[in-house]
Amino acid sequence: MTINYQNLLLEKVYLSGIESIDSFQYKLIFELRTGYQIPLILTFSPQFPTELPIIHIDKSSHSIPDIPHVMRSGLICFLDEEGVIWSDIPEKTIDFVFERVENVLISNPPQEEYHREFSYYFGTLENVEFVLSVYPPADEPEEISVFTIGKKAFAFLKGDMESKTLLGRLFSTNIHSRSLEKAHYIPLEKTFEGAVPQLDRFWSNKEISNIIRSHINHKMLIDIQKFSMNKSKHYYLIRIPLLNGEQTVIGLKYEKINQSLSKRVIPLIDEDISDEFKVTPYFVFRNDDTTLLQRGGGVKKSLNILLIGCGSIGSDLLFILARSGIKQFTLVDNDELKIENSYRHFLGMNKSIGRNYKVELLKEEFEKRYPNVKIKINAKEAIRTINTGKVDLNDYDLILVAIGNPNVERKINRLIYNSSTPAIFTWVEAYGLGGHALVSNNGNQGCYECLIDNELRMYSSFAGESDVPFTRNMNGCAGSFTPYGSIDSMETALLAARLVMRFLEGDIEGNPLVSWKGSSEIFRSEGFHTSWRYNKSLDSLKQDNYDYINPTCDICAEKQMWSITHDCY
Amino acid sequence: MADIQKQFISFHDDIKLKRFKENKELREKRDIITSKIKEGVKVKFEEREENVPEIEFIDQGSYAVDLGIVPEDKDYDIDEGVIFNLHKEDYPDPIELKKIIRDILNHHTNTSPKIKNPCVTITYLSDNEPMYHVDLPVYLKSKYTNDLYLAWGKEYSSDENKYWDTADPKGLNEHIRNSFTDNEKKQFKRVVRYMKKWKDICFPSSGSARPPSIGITIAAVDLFSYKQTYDPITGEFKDNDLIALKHFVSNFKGRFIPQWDYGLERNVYTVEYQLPVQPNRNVFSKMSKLQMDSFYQKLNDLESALNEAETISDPHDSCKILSPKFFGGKFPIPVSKEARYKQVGLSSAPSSSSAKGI
Repeated sequence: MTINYQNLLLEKVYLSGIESIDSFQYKLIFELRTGYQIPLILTFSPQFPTELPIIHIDKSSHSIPDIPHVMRSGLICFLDEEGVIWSDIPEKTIDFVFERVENVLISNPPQEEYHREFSYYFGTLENVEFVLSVYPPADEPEEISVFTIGKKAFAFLKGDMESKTLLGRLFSTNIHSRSLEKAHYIPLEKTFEGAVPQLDRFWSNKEISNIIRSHINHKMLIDIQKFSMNKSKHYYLIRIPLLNGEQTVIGLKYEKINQSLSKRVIPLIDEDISDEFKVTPYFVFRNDDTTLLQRGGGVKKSLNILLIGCGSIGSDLLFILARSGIKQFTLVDNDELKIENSYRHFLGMNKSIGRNYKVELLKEEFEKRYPNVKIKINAKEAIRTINTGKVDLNDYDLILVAIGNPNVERKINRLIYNSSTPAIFTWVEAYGLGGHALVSNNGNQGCYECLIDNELRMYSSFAGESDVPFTRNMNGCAGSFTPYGSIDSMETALLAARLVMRFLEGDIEGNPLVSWKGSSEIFRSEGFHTSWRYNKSLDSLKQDNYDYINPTCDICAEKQMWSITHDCY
Repeated sequence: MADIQKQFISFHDDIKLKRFKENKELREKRDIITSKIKEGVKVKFEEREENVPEIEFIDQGSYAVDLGIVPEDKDYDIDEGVIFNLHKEDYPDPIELKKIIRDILNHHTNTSPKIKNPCVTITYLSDNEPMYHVDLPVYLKSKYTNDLYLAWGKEYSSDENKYWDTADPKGLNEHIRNSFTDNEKKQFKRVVRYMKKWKDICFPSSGSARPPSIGITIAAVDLFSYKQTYDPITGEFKDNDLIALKHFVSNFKGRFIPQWDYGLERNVYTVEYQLPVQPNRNVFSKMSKLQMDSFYQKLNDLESALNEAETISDPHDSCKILSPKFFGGKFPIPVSKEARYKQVGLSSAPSSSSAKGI
């Protein structure tokens, strides 16, 4: 499929002055519905429309506005991808993109809305680092500790034996006193009312000191002075009351740039010398205990499985299947294991320190645990991997897809239908609403595409329609991710694993959809509502469902037609 | 917050009435009438073997202060004061000179000139529809003061309704003209025009239920303040007519005084605004209490609408609140999100594969 990008843009009445920079990049003028015309640079992805174009404000002819979702580079962050399905018809994708871009440029929501999403925005900061905290925030300032390895901070903790043991368990290492540094915990007294830092717009050092000084009492100020004396590195854990009534906790590290500076200076509150320090913002994960669910059947037949997507569901699925005796896997995933996404991941947080590819770490871990298991890996993006022939879908007995991005999964479904290999798609819904698994390309009709209706709604969804993506605050991080807990991803992995077992037994007819549902309490309390399907009983959701099949689906219906006509010859 | 400044400006361009300077046709009509009056007065006074008085003309009304809007009914209104260098003490009957003016212009148009209470009115018709009319208030001087006096009364009014009363048309023009300068003045003029258009749309087409334009103008001179807001996209401050208008409307509302009405068992809101020049009377005096109260309620509705329009960030939804209900159909509404990005919500599974570009 070749797309004529220029013609695609020329068709849009709201675009003018379209000028091609190269075959993927275009200068254009976008007229907002307010009448304002803004020059933009649009860069198509070779994967368009599966991947959306990148849009910058043209710096050469327009200043970069200081507004949320616009980076200082001019990049417009018009979408948190996850949880949103856009049309894969290029004309419509372009409309979708510009509707979102316009929304960024003209909507001017009140500060409180940004405060509600403080963690999310804070997590998008360019220079942010992620740390854990096992310190329960108190109402009084106190001296605490921070666990560091080399120059990197990993966790804030109280510094007592109990905290050290807890942290030691989490990182599978002994916490020695020499790897602990002092930190200062400061709960701000007054509600912070200013702008929420995001993307490349962190507070300046001066702004931080202004915020601190104007939000604490005199006693705390003296405390900070005492604490900060005679140190070359300063760690702070700061609790900030927000406009929405909630509180958030962030961390800061000050490192002296000017070594000749007196040791008596206090960078956090002394704005005159604050620029002599380099400040690193920390996104703080507050610790929860995670539980591992262990289950497994027993596999009799040998099976060669392609697993696309090795996030929390994918890794759990791999674990269950390996324990069930499946020995041959090929893993495709281009993601690194980072502290912020290791939380629910099978590999756990201790593996996240090196920032290696998930597939590499999984191979290492599984081949160590289960010497019989053979794992091949490919740390590249899935669609590209298939398109370039690095992985031939026909080489496998079963394909498992656990990416969690409906737009990519639609595309992969299409590619799977060009092969003869059956597949199981599995994904989880936000806020513990439930999870799903769907068999595809297993004879008869019914495939991933059938789930998506003309309004781009998903048949299977337990979440009702919402203008707001369900990618909200919980443990927000640098990229957006759908909030769901470890148990939810594991439950979903189990659902999919059972389908794999049934597939092995030859016990699956056609392409059923199965689901499990959890509680909707948190989801509803966030102001969202559930879909009609959520109201169905747990039992009926777990049974094989074929009602979703779209008889005119242009993926699976066409393949059916094709095979019927070929059978006639 | 909605940015609908471009829509306000385009609305203003549409309703703004050009000044004499820019409107050759009306200027010529005015000049024909003024020279005809000059000649006619000369003839009349020579016939009466009296000294021919000097006459001075003064542009009055919205033309003079550049606050006119294109009338809904296309009946353009020119106000041109006729100042005789005569003394009221020599003309006890204020109708005498008005009759002279009327007679001079008697066959000037197909419809006969009319003597109205404050002026003589000449109506121009086109296809039997009034196209515009010229109001000619008549002023005299006094032997004892420096004031001007306006001739009040109709031809057959009773004596107590025929009188000379002090007036200061020049002072009024200056009061309005000199109230603001530069960009403030430009926004002031726009806000007054928005208010006049609102009045045309939201009040019955004639009668004392309509607040007089001069009242709105005087109130605006007193209460208007220039408003700009920061435009985050350009990083500059720019005029914000929505805020300026809203601010004026709520200030104006604040000038109304509630009074308990025992008959209606509710508060009735009334307003007074003194003319800033002689004779300093209340410019809203012709309105009844209930008419003022209804004026207040309408200002209240307008204020709520402006508040709502301000909070909505989508320009289509924002303008739809104001147009046509409050400002008529000339207030532009940008295309809706759904209409412009109509492709977004449509079918994603067309039956023809060619539509997918495959």
